[in-house]
Amino acid sequence: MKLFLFEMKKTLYTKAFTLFILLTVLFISGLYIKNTIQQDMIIVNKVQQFSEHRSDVFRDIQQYRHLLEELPDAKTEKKLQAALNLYGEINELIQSIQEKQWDNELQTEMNVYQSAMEYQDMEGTFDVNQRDMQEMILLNEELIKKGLPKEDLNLSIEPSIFMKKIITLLLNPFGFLVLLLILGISVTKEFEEKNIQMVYALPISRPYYILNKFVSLMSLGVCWLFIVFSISFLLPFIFTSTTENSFSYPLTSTEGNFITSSHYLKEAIIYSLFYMIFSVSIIIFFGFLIRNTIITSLILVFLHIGNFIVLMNGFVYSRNPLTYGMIDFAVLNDENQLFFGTSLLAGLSVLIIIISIVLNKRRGIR
Amino acid sequence: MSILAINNLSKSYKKQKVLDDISLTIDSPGIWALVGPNGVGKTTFLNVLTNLLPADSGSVELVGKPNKDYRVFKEVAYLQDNTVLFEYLTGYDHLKYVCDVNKISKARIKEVSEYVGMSKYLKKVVGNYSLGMKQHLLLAMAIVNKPKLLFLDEPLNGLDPSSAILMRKILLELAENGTTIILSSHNLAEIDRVTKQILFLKDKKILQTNMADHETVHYYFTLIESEKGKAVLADNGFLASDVIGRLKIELKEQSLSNVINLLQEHQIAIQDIEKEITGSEKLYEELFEL
Repeated sequence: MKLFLFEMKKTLYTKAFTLFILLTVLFISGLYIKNTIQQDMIIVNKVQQFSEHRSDVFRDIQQYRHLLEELPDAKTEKKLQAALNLYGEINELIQSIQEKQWDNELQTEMNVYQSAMEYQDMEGTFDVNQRDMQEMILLNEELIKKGLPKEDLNLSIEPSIFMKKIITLLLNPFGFLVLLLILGISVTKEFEEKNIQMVYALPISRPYYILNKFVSLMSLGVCWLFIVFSISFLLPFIFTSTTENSFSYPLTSTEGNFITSSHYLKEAIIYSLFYMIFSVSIIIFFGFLIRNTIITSLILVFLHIGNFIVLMNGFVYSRNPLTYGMIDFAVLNDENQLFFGTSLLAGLSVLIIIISIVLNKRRGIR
Repeated sequence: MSILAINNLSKSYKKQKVLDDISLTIDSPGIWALVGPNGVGKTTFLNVLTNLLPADSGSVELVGKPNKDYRVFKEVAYLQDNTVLFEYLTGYDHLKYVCDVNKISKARIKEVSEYVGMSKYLKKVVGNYSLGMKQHLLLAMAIVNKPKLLFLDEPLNGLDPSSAILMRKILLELAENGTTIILSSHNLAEIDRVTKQILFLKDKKILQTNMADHETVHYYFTLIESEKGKAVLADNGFLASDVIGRLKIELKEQSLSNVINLLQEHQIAIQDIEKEITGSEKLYEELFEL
């Protein structure tokens, strides 16, 4: 235990980790303040979005009227009626948004999308694709069922949705990469600055030292996760009047299924913990194998950036452990099974640590 | 049980052989000086003995256990150069770490820091230490577990005269109390003061020498009539030379009292006599063909 604390102390005294924690807190607080300030923007954005649709429909109405004046036609008349109907519903929706009648807004929005899809079938202008509108209708139905207002996933200050936003922004290959680079230095620097020679001339076995290092770095990583989750929860929880039942907010998975935000957060926490264990085992492996900060850092950068590019291009394999480094994606992807994912990460971590121990058992300081 | 047993030890570094089939046994406590020019492999030799660097072949036993067994460091300590220290931690942190690893009470930290004279700056960050202060900390870390076998790599580096005297005193005390010490140093004069047992590292081999067989004793006489004294001594078969106003006399068969009596017989007043024992330097010159 004392050696574990000493390892923690060594990493904390290098200041980089402390600075990283501080920057994380500042980032989350900054985003919360920004979102709080921009709450009115949610209404403005919605009104603007539907005003644009209304303008499109209005242009169509003028065109249809002009055509009917020139040559009356039943088909155009039908289109005009559909456009007028949609125009009226959009007006009603905008009014509901402005009056903050969220339940009415949800229902009217569904009506708008329903009418818009029919209108699109008549070759009318409404610039949203039908799949998105269908998803929106399903979401609104779910929200009405649960009695919850719709949240802007980017600007919301509801605890669970704000936490989701933070997870998306921080618990991704870039966030993990920065943390791992900071933690990785504490391994490689000991070889570069020869401190390891002092440790190797003490009655500590090398496997024990590697395990100790692994546990201490993992604890620091978990500490960072704890800060990310707790700050992103506490800020909105304390300073925002939250909606009752807000943790059952429905989130759409990649296949269009709904999971509650509490389920999302639970899985996000579990995936984050296991991915942290896996990431730290990777640092231990490369740190003790290569013993050079620049090369180890380059490998970590290559792995994470490469993984990000692969994931962004849709190459998602539940058997690729790095897939779980994008926590939001890992939770919302229906192909991923929590038990399989966590078992894979845990199993690989154990294997990597064993390999690290074997490779370093008889190795000297060079 | 041997304190140190080296059998056919070889080590190459970057395709170049540094240690070649070395065998050495030390059975009784004492101080041994490891001597050789820069780059000959003294630090590598100590690193291989302590298994910081694995040997290519051969075996090493420290206090009866193979050096590959990390538990030997409960009874063995190794003072390395000051780069091994954590610059951002305090001296206390270092000593506490060594105590924790060795499962030694924290009370020993106070005891050992007072012993090596570093109590005043024990809780300061090592990054702010001078070279001498770092050397004190390294020594404290090396002796905190009361080792039976102590390796020291250039322990006198960066020490001012008072610290060097203290270091010498501590080494002699440790040896008296049964610790076997192997120290590498460039300071041949200091080596002459602490031990007569030298391990020369030459041509990848160890040459074990007892300086008692090679040492020469010189006396420096400060006389009122230096020229007259020199003539009298020369007439009586003593070889005397002028060294900055003093007469340097080498005594082999003769005793010091003979010289004193001779000078007194000729009524030459003696102001001061200083003894100097040398040997390692001369032998070093011969061995390394300087």
